[in-house]
Amino acid sequence: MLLKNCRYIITQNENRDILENKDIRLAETIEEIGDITPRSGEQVIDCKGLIAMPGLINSHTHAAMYVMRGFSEDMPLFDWLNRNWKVEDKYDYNIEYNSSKMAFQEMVSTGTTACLDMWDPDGVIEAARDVGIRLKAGYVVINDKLEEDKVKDLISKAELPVIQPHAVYTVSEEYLVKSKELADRYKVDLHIHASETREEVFECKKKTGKLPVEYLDSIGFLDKNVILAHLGWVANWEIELIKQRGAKVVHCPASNMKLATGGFFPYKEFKDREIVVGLGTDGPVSNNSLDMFREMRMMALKQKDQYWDPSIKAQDVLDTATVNGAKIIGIKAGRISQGYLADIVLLKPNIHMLPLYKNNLISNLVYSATGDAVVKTIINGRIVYDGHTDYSPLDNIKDFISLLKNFK
Amino acid sequence: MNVGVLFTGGKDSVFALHCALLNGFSVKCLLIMRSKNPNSWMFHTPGMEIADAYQELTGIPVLIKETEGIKEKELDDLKELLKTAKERYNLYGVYTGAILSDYQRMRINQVCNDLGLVVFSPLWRKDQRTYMKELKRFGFDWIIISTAADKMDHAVGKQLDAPDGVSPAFEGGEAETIVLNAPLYKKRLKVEMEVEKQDEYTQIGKVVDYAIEEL
Repeated sequence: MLLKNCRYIITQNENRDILENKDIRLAETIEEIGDITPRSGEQVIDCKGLIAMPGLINSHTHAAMYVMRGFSEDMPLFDWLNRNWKVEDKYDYNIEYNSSKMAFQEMVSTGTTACLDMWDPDGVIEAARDVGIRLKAGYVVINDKLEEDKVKDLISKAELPVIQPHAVYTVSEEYLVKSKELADRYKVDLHIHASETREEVFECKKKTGKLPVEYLDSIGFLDKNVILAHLGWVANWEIELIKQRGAKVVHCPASNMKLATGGFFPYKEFKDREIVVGLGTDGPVSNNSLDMFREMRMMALKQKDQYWDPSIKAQDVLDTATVNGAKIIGIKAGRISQGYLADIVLLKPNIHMLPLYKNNLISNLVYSATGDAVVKTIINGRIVYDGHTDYSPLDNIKDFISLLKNFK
Repeated sequence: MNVGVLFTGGKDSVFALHCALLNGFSVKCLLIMRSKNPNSWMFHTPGMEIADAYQELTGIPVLIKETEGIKEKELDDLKELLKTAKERYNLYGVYTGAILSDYQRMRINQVCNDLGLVVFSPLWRKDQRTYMKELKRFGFDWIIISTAADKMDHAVGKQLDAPDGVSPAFEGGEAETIVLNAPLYKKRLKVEMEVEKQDEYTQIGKVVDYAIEEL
């Protein structure tokens, strides 16, 4: 496939080059960038006036919750969780699959090409495959339930496997340690919610004498294969531990703000220590959008405001959603460079993004664009979004939507 | 990045210290203004006689500045303290426990603005009832050290909920508190107080002896 005459190519390469009026040749990976003559019979997409950028990577989400969007509003985390859990136990494969399918369609239609998803994933994996999005997923350990056969089964099924102990307040030390042992044995990552609320951190301190990240380290859990989501209440000595162990972290600004966790994700401290920071929307019930363009804007505004420091740049934020996300997911992506996966998004600049020129392009993407500007999404060299969304999955879960509608 | 905490040893500044630590900052110093004016609108005076003890309790260096507590002039003393701290510890900002007093908050911001320090007030306009419940739940052990309100005549030395008509976190100055232990304290404080009854509503506890105990 040849993307011909891209008005701009945001490469996200080492120099963060932005190319003008160039072409991209791709198969499953990116083969060539420059002035390229089409081969005979090659599929050519006219990209005149379009922006090509690396697909965005959502590093923390719960896609299967799509159907519950708007169900639990205006409440703090623990009340929110308790309300959700009352209906989540009604989930079956059908709900998981169809709800996730809608979420993944929302993601690809707004420029996301890969995500790290926390949910019991049978239906989720199938939905991702059908939509064509890259998915890092795996067994969720919660309330001390851990079926090793199922863990193994999911590791074999998932394109990008992971083991996901939910949090220190829902998983005992024994099962956190077991999760870590399994992750090491099968050479997969661990993904956990950590230090999201002050309640969590002070309760952990009372129970264990340590803050959550300190505690995870003390039981041998914190390591280079660990991805910590949220970290709104993390102490600087814990940041040092994250650095020393080589763990990665994910910022979910909109969700934290909506759940009013009052935290402070210390992006600058992480960046200064060269800790990999990804960006996630969290699930559609706590955000309530899966649009990573909107999330980038949230992150930029939240970080500037909380530090009283405008020097956190749009480019920093774009990095979290592309190159850093690729490190978290564990794929060679997040860049438009030769040899990288052909996960590319094409945007048509709309009224929100004008005037547009090379020097304001990244700013306008982060602060002004929304996913509505996406006209095509390409994953693994295949067009997975071309302006069309299939709404039929919602018809397949009408009964569950009725349950939500009438839930008191 | 380095910050300091404007500190009194009362519940609000101890909570602000915890926020600073859990916001990922390196807390370099506790900044204490010891005022000779018990009626200062800016600075809390009860319990300040043990200001030196906070270094051992928290493991964080304490910087103390004496002030006569003369209205507005006391801000020059605050500025001097903050300037010293900024230079010594390369501070980026300061945390305060301000909840609802714009008199304090705006003056602190004015001084910090002059010095190029940012101000974090994590409790600002937060719901006071929720905050007081959380202090209890999270293990902040505080007692009242002085009162200036009706229906609080036996409150000194105790941990009491605010009676009706008193702001839930004593934000109107109805009482001042001293924290004996907190989740991130390194040691625990034990105090012995003498209570001086100044008038019908005002009782001031003076710490006559204290001990620092291992946790």
